[in-house]
Amino acid sequence: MPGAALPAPALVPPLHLTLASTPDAVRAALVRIGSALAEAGLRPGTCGMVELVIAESLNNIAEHAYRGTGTGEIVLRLVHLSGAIEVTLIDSGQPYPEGALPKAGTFPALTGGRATLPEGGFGWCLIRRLTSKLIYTRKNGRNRLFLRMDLDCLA
Amino acid sequence: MNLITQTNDDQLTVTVDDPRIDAAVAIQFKDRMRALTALGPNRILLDLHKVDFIDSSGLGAIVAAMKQLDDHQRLDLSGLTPNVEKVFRLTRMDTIFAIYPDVPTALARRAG
Repeated sequence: MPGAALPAPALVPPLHLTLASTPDAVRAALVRIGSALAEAGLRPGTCGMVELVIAESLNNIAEHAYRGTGTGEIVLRLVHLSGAIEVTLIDSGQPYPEGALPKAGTFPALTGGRATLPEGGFGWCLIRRLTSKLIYTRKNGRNRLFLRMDLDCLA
Repeated sequence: MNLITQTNDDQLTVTVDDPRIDAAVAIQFKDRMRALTALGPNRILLDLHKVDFIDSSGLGAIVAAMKQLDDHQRLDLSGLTPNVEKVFRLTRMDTIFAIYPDVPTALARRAG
């Protein structure tokens, strides 16, 4: 249409993936998601942070929900709305302790010298820092995690 | 994962020749770094210019690689790409490591 200032930004086509909770399968899914985001024209910095949030969420499922029960299945749905990416992750692993997400509001302290530096505890902090909405529900033996990332806040 | 090494005097440069340091390679990375640094160079420079994605597992593996060094050894970083730099900044790990834009700059500046 003449007079339209900018073309409508391309939306990432909805993604619906089913993957095993193994590090290699998680990596393959992330590479595929990263490609889809880049092809839609999202800025590299935005793609990287979306990929990071999904990576941390998938790693949590693989390492905690399915801990002790071997490999399980994860269903991932990604939708690109105007200005936001929404991701839903469903697994059949163990529920979060006490039925709620870890609070983990602040990043681990880095004081105290080399020997005491934290090697973990960053995952949930990164997820909370980079999402604008985070909803966990447990229903019918399944964990459902909904994550919303506002793209303006990521780059 | 491929790690390319080069030795200059008592400095060992390790270039990660892989676009990702993630949960799939974190343990392998830590073990490889232990083997590479065990011979005792005083300074190890980890060059990340080919890495465009790191997750908290990969970050933890780099921290672990530093913690497993002897007291006289230090681990510096170079070539952080924007996504990697952002993860270091968000977790404030950028305050723990000396970070250089590239290998020549890092080698020219012998941080104490």
